[in-house]
Amino acid sequence: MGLEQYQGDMEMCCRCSACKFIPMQKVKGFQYANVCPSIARYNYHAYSGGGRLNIAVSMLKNGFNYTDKLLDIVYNCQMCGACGVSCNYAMDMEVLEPISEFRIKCVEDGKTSPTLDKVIDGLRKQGTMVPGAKGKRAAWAEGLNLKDVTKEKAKVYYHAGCLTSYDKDYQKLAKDTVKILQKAGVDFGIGYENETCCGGRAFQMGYKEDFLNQAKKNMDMLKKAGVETLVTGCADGYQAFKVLYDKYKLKGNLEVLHITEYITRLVKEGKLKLNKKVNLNVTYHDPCRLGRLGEPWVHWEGKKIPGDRFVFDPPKEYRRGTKGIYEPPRDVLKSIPGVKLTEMTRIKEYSWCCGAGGGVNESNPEFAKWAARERIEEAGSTGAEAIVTACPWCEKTFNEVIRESGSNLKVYDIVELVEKAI
Amino acid sequence: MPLSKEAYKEFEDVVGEENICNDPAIMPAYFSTDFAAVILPKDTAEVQAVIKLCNKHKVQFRPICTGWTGGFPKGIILLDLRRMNRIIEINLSRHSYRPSCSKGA
Repeated sequence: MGLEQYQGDMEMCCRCSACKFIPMQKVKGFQYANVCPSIARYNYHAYSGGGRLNIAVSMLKNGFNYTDKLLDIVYNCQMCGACGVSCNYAMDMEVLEPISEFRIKCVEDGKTSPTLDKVIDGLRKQGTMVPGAKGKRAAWAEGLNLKDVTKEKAKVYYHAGCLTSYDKDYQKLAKDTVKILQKAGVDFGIGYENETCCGGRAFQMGYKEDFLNQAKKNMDMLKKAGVETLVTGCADGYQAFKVLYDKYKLKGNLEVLHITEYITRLVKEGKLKLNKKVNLNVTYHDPCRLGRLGEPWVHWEGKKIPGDRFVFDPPKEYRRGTKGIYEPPRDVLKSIPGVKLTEMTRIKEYSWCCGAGGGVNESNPEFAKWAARERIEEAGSTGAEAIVTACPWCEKTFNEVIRESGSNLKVYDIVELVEKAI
Repeated sequence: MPLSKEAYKEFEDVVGEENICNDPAIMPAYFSTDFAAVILPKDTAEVQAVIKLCNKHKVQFRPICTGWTGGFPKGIILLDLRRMNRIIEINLSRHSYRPSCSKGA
């Protein structure tokens, strides 16, 4: 298994370059037609989804010859999955999966980025992906008297996530989420110091074993606590718990909801009323791991029948990014009085990545900011006063770029607006 | 055949350091392991200058656009026209447009 299992998919690449752009049938204009930050920044075909597949096939056939340039190609990718979504508009083949396996192979062969190694070292020692994290994980919850799910029963578990827990600038998101849940009368608990990283970002970076260790730790804790529903405001955490844990058959019956899905449910059930006016013209950024990569995992087992094209028996259902979480955040924004939503050009499954994913934020922050700058420019072109997102990692990257560029655009996480509206 | 250091520098002077590469790691992406270099010109003037240098150094070249088919002879210079992504002209009466990587652009 591993990269080899995708050789057939990779050999199906017909070099059409669909992985670089929004599909012709869906594109809305020339200026924002690019969908992959890596090829848009570096231009050589090697930095595209298709190019990476071609390189991987060549390596499988001719042996793995690791060079600095090869590792530059492998690690300068946000693993945002846009290449696969655009390709799969017309093709039935896996794109992101083999790219991910290629990274896993690099890590297994000891060909890693020293910067990412340091981040993973922090994960192993402290259970977090925030480099240099200090203090207690649940410091944000001090004085809030929340239930500890390891000591008291609670069906709903709020997973704050690494950045929201350790970065003082983003602890407000956890506090706002708690206010919202309490206002709706939800019986929920947190893990305090037993909460640990979901492992999703480690997986994106290729450290599969570290991801699996984190997944097992989390699921052991959640099963012992009898948790039925996990709610998180972190898109990376959402994808890890819902999609990656399921891929590796670790999720069990756990219901995983992003906070925007849960707020939508609470509003529909009449438990939460968003009745205070928040006068703001906004645009919404779909985080990759809530949107296209938040699509449920599809398990497939069967026979692969070789031919001109592979045929699968039973037929294989491909994940094309269309079943991600797109409407709940928009529904939440539309239900806040005074909020006016104007969409950007690249939305939903064709959203442009904030730049922070896949370890790029750590290994090549300039490239991460380059991608974020393009998104901020796109958001600004809508005339909105603020860009709203649903992931603290996106918010952090946007804030950094805006601080440097002097743009007047404001950045909000969606829970901050909901907290203002209750 | 690989380019001499001097010849490589002449091409580099035309397109800039970022837009020429002879690292073997990038070549399998183009289904070859044996290009003299991959060059990314940005406009017609750079294409002309690169082709003049190809003639000077007796190196074959092949241009490709963003999508392509077929194989490549060994030792050629691959002109990847990806950066020539502007539209030079839109002619509404003839319902036509002229991209920057077209003949005569």
